[in-house]
Amino acid sequence: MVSEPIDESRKSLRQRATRRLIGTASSVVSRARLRAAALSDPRPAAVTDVLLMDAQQEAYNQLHQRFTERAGRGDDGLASALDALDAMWEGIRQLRGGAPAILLTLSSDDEVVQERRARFYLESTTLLEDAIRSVFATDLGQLAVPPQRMAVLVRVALEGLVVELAQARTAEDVSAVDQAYVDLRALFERFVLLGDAGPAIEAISMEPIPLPW
Amino acid sequence: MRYERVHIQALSYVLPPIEITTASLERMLGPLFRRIGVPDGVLEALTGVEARRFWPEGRLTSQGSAQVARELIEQHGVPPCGIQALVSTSVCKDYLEPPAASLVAGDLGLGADCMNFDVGHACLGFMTGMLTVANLIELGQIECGLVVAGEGSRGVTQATIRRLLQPGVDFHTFAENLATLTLGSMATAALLVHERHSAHGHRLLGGATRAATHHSRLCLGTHTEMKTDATTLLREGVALARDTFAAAAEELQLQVPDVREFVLHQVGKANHDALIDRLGLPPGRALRLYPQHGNVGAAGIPFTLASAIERGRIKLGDTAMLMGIGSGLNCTMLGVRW
Repeated sequence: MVSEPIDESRKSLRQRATRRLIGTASSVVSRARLRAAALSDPRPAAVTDVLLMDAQQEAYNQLHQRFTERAGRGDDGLASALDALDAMWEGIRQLRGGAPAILLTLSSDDEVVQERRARFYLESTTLLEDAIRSVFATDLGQLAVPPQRMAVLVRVALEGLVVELAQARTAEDVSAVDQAYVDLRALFERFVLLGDAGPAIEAISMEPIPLPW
Repeated sequence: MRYERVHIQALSYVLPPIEITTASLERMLGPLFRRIGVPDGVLEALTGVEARRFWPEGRLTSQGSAQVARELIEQHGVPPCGIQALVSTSVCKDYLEPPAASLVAGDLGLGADCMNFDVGHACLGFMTGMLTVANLIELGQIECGLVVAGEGSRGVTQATIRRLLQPGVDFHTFAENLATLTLGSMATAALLVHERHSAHGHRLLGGATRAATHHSRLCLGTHTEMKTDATTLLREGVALARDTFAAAAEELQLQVPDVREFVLHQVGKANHDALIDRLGLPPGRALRLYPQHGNVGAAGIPFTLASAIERGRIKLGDTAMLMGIGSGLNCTMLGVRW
């Protein structure tokens, strides 16, 4: 199903709402964790952890929407994928204040959070896979790795950047994470559609080939 | 066609001074190979070409032709009639005009009575040049003519490597350009004379030529790249060669056992093997020079003939069959009684 395009003002409104949600959730989860740590009871953190994960899930929803909108307009391929990746990174960069809290959430051993975390991974990866299938519909055979694994790869890379952001203390630290994204993007751009080169590693026969006379 | 009065007075070749190994080309292409997942050694394994030669930067192929012609004349001399025709047969062209033959004739200081012109016939050029001069001799129009070819692969190889190192080049593009990386450089010359001037009695017997021009767009080459459908080219080239071989054998009344050496156009392992297999030639009677020199275009046949003679594979009185194929497609086979 192709979503209806959303206009810029609605999109901007949605982004602002997401940022606010994340900001609130981050501050709540941090306060709740401090309180829970003081009381040696992690339970109060669960609700806010889930809230925070919902906020992150929303970022994936947006990414999926952007992918499918562009694919629906026939505007598919690598440029669209990069655009969506940039949008996703922008969302993550806006999460920076909440990144430490996300880190805590992702490592929480609360059952509610664990269940939500598992669902988050499944849903976000499924959304990514669907988006990748949409945007590379005509080039699926050329993908360096199949859509499902590509989705895992993108999710792992982005989550890794969240972890890095969480640990960033100085402007230099943040700049290093930004550079990591730029490099990641360049690698993605270079390799994502060279799928025919990948299998060729095994497909190359070292038998002599015809040459022009 | 048969010739009664045409002799090959002398053959000569000049090897360019710079050897470029296939391994060194692969090192240059390292970033591409790593990116598209091509293993080291693939170029040599697929083509059988281990090295090729380059002229120094800036050297024109016509200068190579002039050099080899000069060396041939200095070593073997010319009949009293002088050189009355000079035919340049190179695939590589320094300029659209003048003809390379004019540049070579000018460099050699040949006189006003020496006609000079180019023959363009792809890799078959040298043999067509020999036929042209042989016809002039047979008709009694001249008594001595010089055929030259100077090929240079430096420019096209470097341009291809530059192109292949651009971002976005994929395996398909690499495969499409692979043949260009097998091209070599060389200059060759042959002096043909009327039998009355022959010093050694090496006769050009004649032969046959066949065309299959419905395949004329299978290989399109420019100064900077060459695009080919090599698989079809090989298949149709071998089929044409079979027809030509049958026609030449009938014309010259020769059978395979009568031929001491089969002088094949040097391309690569797959082409060489296919010709030997499909024509039913004894494998040990066809010299392979492509491993060290690649495809040297029109210079391939005379270079191989000269090398076979140098190595004692062809001795006085032996019969050799020159077998050339050129994109177009055209095929010529000529008998030589050395």
